[in-house]
Amino acid sequence: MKRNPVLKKELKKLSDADMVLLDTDAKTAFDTVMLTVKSLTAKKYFGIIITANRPYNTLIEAYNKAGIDINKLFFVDCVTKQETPGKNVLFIGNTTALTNIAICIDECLQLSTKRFVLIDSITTMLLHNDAGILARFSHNLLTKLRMTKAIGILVTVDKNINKELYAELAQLCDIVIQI
Amino acid sequence: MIKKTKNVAKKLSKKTITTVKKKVTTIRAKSKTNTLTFEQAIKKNNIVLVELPTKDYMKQAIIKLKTLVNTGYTGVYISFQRPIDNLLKILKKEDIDTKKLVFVDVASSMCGGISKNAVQCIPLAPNVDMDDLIRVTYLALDKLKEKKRFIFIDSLTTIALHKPLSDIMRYSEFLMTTVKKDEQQVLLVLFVAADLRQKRFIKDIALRVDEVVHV
Repeated sequence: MKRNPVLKKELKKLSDADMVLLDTDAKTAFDTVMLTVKSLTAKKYFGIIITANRPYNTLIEAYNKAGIDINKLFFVDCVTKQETPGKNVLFIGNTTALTNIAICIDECLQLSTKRFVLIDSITTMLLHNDAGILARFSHNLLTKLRMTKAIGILVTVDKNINKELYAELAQLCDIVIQI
Repeated sequence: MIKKTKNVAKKLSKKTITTVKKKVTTIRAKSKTNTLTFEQAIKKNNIVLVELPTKDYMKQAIIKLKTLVNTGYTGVYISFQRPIDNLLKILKKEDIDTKKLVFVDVASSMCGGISKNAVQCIPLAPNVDMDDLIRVTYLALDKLKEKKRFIFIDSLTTIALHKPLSDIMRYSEFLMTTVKKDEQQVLLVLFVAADLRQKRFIKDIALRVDEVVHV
């Protein structure tokens, strides 16, 4: 996990109800997400990770290796198809089940008062969802997070995949961090 | 004979292409020289569409709002982008007098919530429909007693995420006729992200406004 001074500086400024569009590239995306999670958990935030890229088991291993306290995290796994939920995970197993994901986030937001929600990544979700529907889901989510004073982080891997969706998300967020 | 006709056709097409090119450049040059600043546009016109950079959209929108409030306007802020509490926090930070504003919190309503803790906010039921929104906008405008009034639409494209285009066109039609009908000075300011201006419905709306301002 490489250090990134730009990211560190931007994350330091974050406060409750801030919405962030984290624009990364394929090479650094995973490290950037881990750095973000590490930085926010260190600031005593409880994290809700919506993972569309990697399964829960892989993430747990990587986070443990990186020294991230996984007790401060709850995962909504949109990759793994498994019915029994784990200690800090719910398996959705489908990135198109946006309503289920929204309900899960609603429930998870009640786990703590100081929390952040991270979607890893919007680009992957775009592979399975229509851009318009995904933009509407994102707007609903960001509004809900603003109302509940949680931090929201949307990760994109390649902004050129859908420029309209990127523009829509960028205008809805408070901060755009380009890595 | 065929060769001759072909040559004539070639020459003609070349001519047409060059004339079209010349026309396009003159139109472009004219539009560039005609570009007004936001301050100039609101002095001269009733309906202004403002294209904002995507990266610092809200920051720029708030600057424009501040300009309006500081020039003696009172207005209706129709918030499609964010809930009222969050908006009030930003306005307070930017030192904008919120007493000069009436808010319509459409963002919370569209996401199934109800806006709370706001004195100057007209409540909306969850998942508001366009007829209700038209009614509430009309009521909100009626609440303002000053002569210089404005309606501030924070994002046209965000409405399009939740409502069909026919509804948006109906709403913009209502806004434009209200502004034009009113004997008093009412200004309509519509905002759109620059990167989304190529959307067809935005182009349709852009054709019907008095001025388009690029920031």
